[in-house]
Amino acid sequence: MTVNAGQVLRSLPTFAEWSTEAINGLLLRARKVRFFAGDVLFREGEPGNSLFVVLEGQIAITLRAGENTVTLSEEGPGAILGEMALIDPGPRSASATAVTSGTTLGLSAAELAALQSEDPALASALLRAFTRTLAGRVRDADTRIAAVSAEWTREQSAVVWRTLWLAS
Amino acid sequence: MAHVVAGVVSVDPELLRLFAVRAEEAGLIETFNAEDLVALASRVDPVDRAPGDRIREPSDCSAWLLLSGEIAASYLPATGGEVDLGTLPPGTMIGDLALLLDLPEPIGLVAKTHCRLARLDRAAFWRWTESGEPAAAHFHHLLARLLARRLRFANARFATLAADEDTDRRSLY
Repeated sequence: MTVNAGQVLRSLPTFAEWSTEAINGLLLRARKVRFFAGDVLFREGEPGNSLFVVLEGQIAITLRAGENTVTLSEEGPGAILGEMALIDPGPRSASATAVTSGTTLGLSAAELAALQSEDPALASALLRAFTRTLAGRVRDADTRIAAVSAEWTREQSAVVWRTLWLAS
Repeated sequence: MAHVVAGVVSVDPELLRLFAVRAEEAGLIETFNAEDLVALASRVDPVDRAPGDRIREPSDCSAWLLLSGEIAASYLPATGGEVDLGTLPPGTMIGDLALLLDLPEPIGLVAKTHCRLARLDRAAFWRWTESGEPAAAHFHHLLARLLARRLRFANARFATLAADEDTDRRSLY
């Protein structure tokens, strides 16, 4: 199956307000990557040097928890993955593994850096999308942590909520 | 915070100095130059609150930087109750998630002492963002970086909890 990347992007809330020119600019620079169930897009702890926009298919975001693996979320079309390691350089904070086959658009750190000098407006639009994605994930983390925090002490709760909700 | 005289934006020097100190403490100007700082400072409004005053309305979606004074903060879970978050010192930023997502935050804020804050209105923030000014892009980048760090923290804590089902042995900090 061949996915029409432009059509998919235009239908996604993240890119709904983007101009055709901006979407075409992104498509021009990003690489379309096919994946299959079980493929690992990136692994927790490894250096991060690219981000992905999911066009089709489902991807599980997981964390190592001792000897177990915890699934944080399952992401589908429109999700932006892997941007954290590019914004705040460091190892991947979670793993991304394909649950089904599908397609992503991939953009490397070098391509993103080039975009900032070649097309600042497009780079800025992409950055706004990243920021909203990250803010949404912090809110999701609040819900996830709330579900497991019943047995915490008040002091433990205060430290977690304070760090999650207040920037310093 | 800004006055415009003959097309030139002028920011009260004392407020700018204090804003610069507090913004640095909040991690907001890691890569800012002087022009970026003035551009940001010129878009915020100074707000004063007396002891006992609520800092913001529950529906507020602005970002706030505490310039001076102290605030008592509490987390208000959707399930009810209240978790005391302690005292926020000058240099604390509040409301960045509300600003970005247009969703009020479940955080109660009451002035413990006289407080002076810099308020960045949501509409003004997005107008600035869409203006294409490099300073706006730099600010967005810093917000994104702060969010990424908070997410790393949240993921690490979540993994710690999930790895250890024995509550007596849970050591989060």
